Amino acid sequence: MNIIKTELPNAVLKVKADLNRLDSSNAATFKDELFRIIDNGNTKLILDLNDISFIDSSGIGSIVATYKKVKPLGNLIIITKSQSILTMLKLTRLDKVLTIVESDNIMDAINFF
Amino acid sequence: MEEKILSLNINAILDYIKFASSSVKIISSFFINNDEMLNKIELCIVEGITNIIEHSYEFNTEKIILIDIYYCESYLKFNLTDSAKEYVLNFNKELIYDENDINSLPEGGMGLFLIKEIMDEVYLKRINNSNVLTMIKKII
Repeated sequence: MNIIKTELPNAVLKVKADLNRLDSSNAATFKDELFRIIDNGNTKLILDLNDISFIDSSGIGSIVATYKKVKPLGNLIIITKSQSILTMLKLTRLDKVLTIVESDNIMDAINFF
Repeated sequence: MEEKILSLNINAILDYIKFASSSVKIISSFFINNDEMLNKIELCIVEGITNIIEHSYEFNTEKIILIDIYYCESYLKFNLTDSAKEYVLNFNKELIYDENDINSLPEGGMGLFLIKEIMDEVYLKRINNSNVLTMIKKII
Protein backbone atom coordinates (compact mmCIF):
# COMPACT_ATOMS: atom_id res chain seq x y z
CA MET A 1 0.00 0.00 0.00
CA ASN A 2 1.41 3.36 -1.04
CA ILE A 3 0.69 6.27 1.31
CA ILE A 4 1.22 9.72 -0.13
CA LYS A 5 2.16 12.29 2.52
CA THR A 6 2.08 16.03 1.87
CA GLU A 7 3.47 18.47 4.44
CA LEU A 8 1.32 21.57 4.87
CA PRO A 9 1.82 24.76 6.92
CA ASN A 10 1.58 24.63 10.75
CA ALA A 11 2.80 21.01 10.96
CA VAL A 12 -0.34 19.68 9.27
CA LEU A 13 0.16 16.50 7.26
CA LYS A 14 -2.15 15.42 4.46
CA VAL A 15 -2.32 11.66 4.07
CA LYS A 16 -3.75 9.85 1.07
CA ALA A 17 -3.63 6.14 0.22
CA ASP A 18 -3.54 4.89 -3.35
CA LEU A 19 -6.72 2.89 -2.84
CA ASN A 20 -10.15 2.96 -4.43
CA ARG A 21 -11.63 0.55 -1.87
CA LEU A 22 -11.02 0.46 1.88
CA ASP A 23 -12.33 -2.84 3.20
CA SER A 24 -11.44 -5.93 5.23
CA SER A 25 -8.72 -6.88 2.73
CA ASN A 26 -6.62 -3.78 3.42
CA ALA A 27 -8.03 -1.96 6.48
CA ALA A 28 -5.51 -3.44 8.95
CA THR A 29 -2.56 -2.38 6.79
CA PHE A 30 -4.10 1.06 6.31
CA LYS A 31 -4.47 1.45 10.09
CA ASP A 32 -0.88 0.30 10.70
CA GLU A 33 0.42 2.87 8.21
CA LEU A 34 -1.54 5.66 9.88
CA PHE A 35 -0.40 4.57 13.35
CA ARG A 36 3.21 4.66 12.13
CA ILE A 37 2.71 8.22 10.88
CA ILE A 38 1.34 9.28 14.28
CA ASP A 39 4.16 7.49 16.11
CA ASN A 40 6.59 9.56 14.03
CA GLY A 41 5.20 12.69 15.66
CA ASN A 42 2.54 13.77 13.21
CA THR A 43 -0.55 14.70 15.20
CA LYS A 44 -2.37 17.12 12.94
CA LEU A 45 -3.65 14.95 10.12
CA ILE A 46 -5.89 15.52 7.14
CA LEU A 47 -7.06 12.17 5.78
CA ASP A 48 -7.89 12.60 2.10
CA LEU A 49 -10.38 9.90 1.13
CA ASN A 50 -11.52 11.42 -2.13
CA ASP A 51 -10.17 8.55 -4.25
CA ILE A 52 -11.98 5.90 -2.20
CA SER A 53 -15.23 4.91 -3.88
CA PHE A 54 -16.19 2.11 -1.46
CA ILE A 55 -15.71 1.61 2.26
CA ASP A 56 -17.00 -1.11 4.59
CA SER A 57 -17.20 -1.37 8.38
CA SER A 58 -13.59 -2.59 8.59
CA GLY A 59 -12.46 0.54 6.76
CA ILE A 60 -14.50 2.77 9.04
CA GLY A 61 -13.08 0.86 12.02
CA SER A 62 -9.53 1.65 10.89
CA ILE A 63 -10.38 5.36 10.68
CA VAL A 64 -12.04 5.33 14.10
CA ALA A 65 -8.98 3.60 15.61
CA THR A 66 -6.74 6.26 14.09
CA TYR A 67 -8.99 9.02 15.41
CA LYS A 68 -8.89 7.53 18.92
CA LYS A 69 -5.08 7.38 18.81
CA VAL A 70 -4.45 10.88 17.49
CA LYS A 71 -7.24 12.88 19.14
CA PRO A 72 -5.58 13.20 22.59
CA LEU A 73 -2.48 14.58 20.84
CA GLY A 74 -3.93 16.61 17.98
CA ASN A 75 -6.72 16.05 15.52
CA LEU A 76 -7.85 14.14 12.45
CA ILE A 77 -9.86 15.85 9.73
CA ILE A 78 -11.45 13.75 6.99
CA ILE A 79 -11.86 15.31 3.58
CA THR A 80 -14.07 13.48 1.11
CA LYS A 81 -16.93 13.80 -1.33
CA SER A 82 -17.33 10.03 -1.60
CA GLN A 83 -21.00 9.14 -1.20
CA SER A 84 -20.10 5.64 0.00
CA ILE A 85 -18.09 7.07 2.90
CA LEU A 86 -20.63 9.78 3.74
CA THR A 87 -23.44 7.22 3.74
CA MET A 88 -21.50 4.86 6.00
CA LEU A 89 -20.67 7.65 8.46
CA LYS A 90 -24.34 8.64 8.63
CA LEU A 91 -25.54 5.05 9.12
CA THR A 92 -23.15 4.60 12.04
CA ARG A 93 -23.79 8.16 13.38
CA LEU A 94 -20.03 8.74 13.28
CA ASP A 95 -20.70 11.86 11.20
CA LYS A 96 -21.64 13.41 14.57
CA VAL A 97 -18.23 12.55 16.05
CA LEU A 98 -15.62 12.86 13.31
CA THR A 99 -14.83 16.12 11.55
CA ILE A 100 -15.72 15.64 7.90
CA VAL A 101 -15.13 18.20 5.20
CA GLU A 102 -17.22 17.48 2.11
CA SER A 103 -14.81 18.88 -0.42
CA ASP A 104 -11.91 17.99 -2.67
CA ASN A 105 -10.14 21.26 -1.89
CA ILE A 106 -7.51 20.73 0.79
CA MET A 107 -7.71 24.39 1.86
CA ASP A 108 -11.21 23.74 3.19
CA ALA A 109 -9.75 21.18 5.62
CA ILE A 110 -6.70 23.16 6.70
CA ASN A 111 -8.96 25.83 8.16
CA PHE A 112 -10.13 23.34 10.82
CA PHE A 113 -6.73 23.40 12.56
CA MET B 1 -43.21 -14.87 -8.89
CA GLU B 2 -39.69 -15.17 -7.54
CA GLU B 3 -36.98 -16.34 -9.91
CA LYS B 4 -33.29 -16.92 -9.48
CA ILE B 5 -31.38 -14.66 -11.82
CA LEU B 6 -27.77 -15.29 -10.89
CA SER B 7 -25.58 -17.64 -8.88
CA LEU B 8 -21.91 -17.21 -8.28
CA ASN B 9 -19.41 -18.55 -5.82
CA ILE B 10 -16.09 -17.39 -4.46
CA ASN B 11 -13.42 -18.88 -2.28
CA ALA B 12 -13.35 -17.47 1.24
CA ILE B 13 -10.67 -14.88 0.50
CA LEU B 14 -11.10 -11.30 1.67
CA ASP B 15 -9.59 -9.91 -1.50
CA TYR B 16 -12.22 -11.75 -3.61
CA ILE B 17 -15.21 -10.14 -1.89
CA LYS B 18 -15.11 -7.16 -4.22
CA PHE B 19 -15.65 -9.41 -7.24
CA ALA B 20 -18.88 -10.78 -5.79
CA SER B 21 -20.14 -7.49 -4.36
CA SER B 22 -19.44 -5.56 -7.55
CA SER B 23 -21.26 -8.21 -9.57
CA VAL B 24 -24.28 -8.04 -7.28
CA LYS B 25 -24.30 -4.25 -7.54
CA ILE B 26 -24.28 -4.38 -11.32
CA ILE B 27 -27.07 -6.97 -11.45
CA SER B 28 -29.12 -4.93 -8.95
CA SER B 29 -28.72 -1.83 -11.09
CA PHE B 30 -31.01 -3.43 -13.70
CA PHE B 31 -33.82 -3.24 -11.13
CA ILE B 32 -32.91 -0.26 -8.93
CA ASN B 33 -32.26 3.20 -10.31
CA ASN B 34 -30.78 4.73 -7.17
CA ASP B 35 -27.02 4.95 -6.69
CA GLU B 36 -27.22 5.33 -2.93
CA MET B 37 -29.33 2.19 -2.59
CA LEU B 38 -27.03 0.26 -4.93
CA ASN B 39 -24.06 1.28 -2.77
CA LYS B 40 -25.92 0.13 0.32
CA ILE B 41 -26.75 -3.24 -1.26
CA GLU B 42 -23.09 -3.69 -2.17
CA LEU B 43 -22.19 -2.84 1.43
CA CYS B 44 -24.56 -5.53 2.76
CA ILE B 45 -23.06 -8.15 0.46
CA VAL B 46 -19.56 -7.18 1.59
CA GLU B 47 -20.51 -7.25 5.27
CA GLY B 48 -22.31 -10.57 4.95
CA ILE B 49 -19.46 -12.30 3.13
CA THR B 50 -16.82 -10.77 5.41
CA ASN B 51 -18.71 -12.10 8.40
CA ILE B 52 -18.72 -15.60 6.90
CA ILE B 53 -15.00 -15.54 6.07
CA GLU B 54 -13.89 -14.16 9.44
CA HIS B 55 -16.27 -15.87 11.86
CA SER B 56 -17.73 -18.93 10.13
CA TYR B 57 -14.87 -20.17 8.00
CA GLU B 58 -12.19 -18.53 10.18
CA PHE B 59 -10.15 -17.54 7.12
CA ASN B 60 -10.03 -21.05 5.63
CA THR B 61 -9.47 -20.04 2.02
CA GLU B 62 -10.43 -23.49 0.67
CA LYS B 63 -14.03 -22.90 1.69
CA ILE B 64 -16.67 -21.68 -0.74
CA ILE B 65 -19.36 -19.02 -0.38
CA LEU B 66 -22.36 -19.20 -2.69
CA ILE B 67 -24.16 -16.00 -3.65
CA ASP B 68 -27.66 -16.26 -5.18
CA ILE B 69 -29.76 -13.35 -6.40
CA TYR B 70 -33.52 -13.70 -6.78
CA TYR B 71 -35.86 -11.23 -8.42
CA CYS B 72 -39.50 -10.66 -7.73
CA GLU B 73 -41.65 -7.78 -8.90
CA SER B 74 -41.49 -6.10 -5.51
CA TYR B 75 -38.09 -7.13 -4.14
CA LEU B 76 -34.60 -8.44 -4.68
CA LYS B 77 -33.42 -11.30 -2.50
CA PHE B 78 -29.80 -12.14 -1.81
CA ASN B 79 -28.78 -15.47 -0.30
CA LEU B 80 -25.28 -16.04 1.06
CA THR B 81 -24.63 -19.72 1.73
CA ASP B 82 -21.74 -21.26 3.62
CA SER B 83 -21.02 -24.82 4.74
CA ALA B 84 -19.57 -24.01 8.15
CA LYS B 85 -20.99 -25.50 11.31
CA GLU B 86 -24.30 -24.09 12.49
CA TYR B 87 -24.16 -20.67 14.14
CA VAL B 88 -26.48 -17.94 15.35
CA LEU B 89 -26.46 -14.27 14.39
CA ASN B 90 -27.90 -11.54 16.57
CA PHE B 91 -29.60 -9.08 14.23
CA ASN B 92 -31.07 -7.11 17.11
CA LYS B 93 -27.75 -5.87 18.39
CA GLU B 94 -27.80 -2.08 18.41
CA LEU B 95 -24.80 0.12 17.71
CA ILE B 96 -24.49 1.75 21.11
CA TYR B 97 -21.78 4.22 22.03
CA ASP B 98 -21.38 7.58 23.71
CA GLU B 99 -20.53 10.26 21.17
CA ASN B 100 -18.75 12.20 23.93
CA ASP B 101 -16.65 9.25 25.09
CA ILE B 102 -13.86 8.63 22.59
CA ASN B 103 -13.06 5.23 24.10
CA SER B 104 -16.57 3.96 23.38
CA LEU B 105 -16.42 4.63 19.63
CA PRO B 106 -16.81 1.39 17.65
CA GLU B 107 -13.89 -0.10 15.73
CA GLY B 108 -15.74 -3.29 14.78
CA GLY B 109 -18.95 -5.23 15.23
CA MET B 110 -20.91 -2.97 12.88
CA GLY B 111 -21.58 -5.41 10.03
CA LEU B 112 -24.83 -7.02 11.17
CA PHE B 113 -26.13 -3.66 12.40
CA LEU B 114 -25.58 -2.17 8.94
CA ILE B 115 -27.30 -5.09 7.19
CA LYS B 116 -30.30 -4.77 9.50
CA GLU B 117 -30.45 -1.01 8.97
CA ILE B 118 -30.34 -1.24 5.18
CA MET B 119 -32.33 -4.37 4.33
CA ASP B 120 -36.09 -4.75 4.75
CA GLU B 121 -35.82 -8.35 5.93
CA VAL B 122 -32.88 -10.41 7.17
CA TYR B 123 -32.77 -13.93 8.51
CA LEU B 124 -30.46 -16.92 8.87
CA LYS B 125 -31.58 -20.50 8.30
CA ARG B 126 -29.90 -23.88 8.46
CA ILE B 127 -30.73 -25.72 5.22
CA ASN B 128 -29.19 -29.02 4.08
CA ASN B 129 -26.18 -28.68 6.41
CA SER B 130 -25.53 -25.15 5.18
CA ASN B 131 -26.10 -21.73 6.70
CA VAL B 132 -28.15 -19.45 4.45
CA LEU B 133 -28.18 -15.73 5.20
CA THR B 134 -31.14 -14.16 3.38
CA MET B 135 -31.36 -10.42 2.79
CA ILE B 136 -34.40 -8.90 1.11
CA LYS B 137 -34.67 -5.38 -0.27
CA LYS B 138 -37.98 -4.03 -1.52
CA ILE B 139 -37.75 -2.30 -4.87
CA ILE B 140 -41.27 -0.88 -5.00
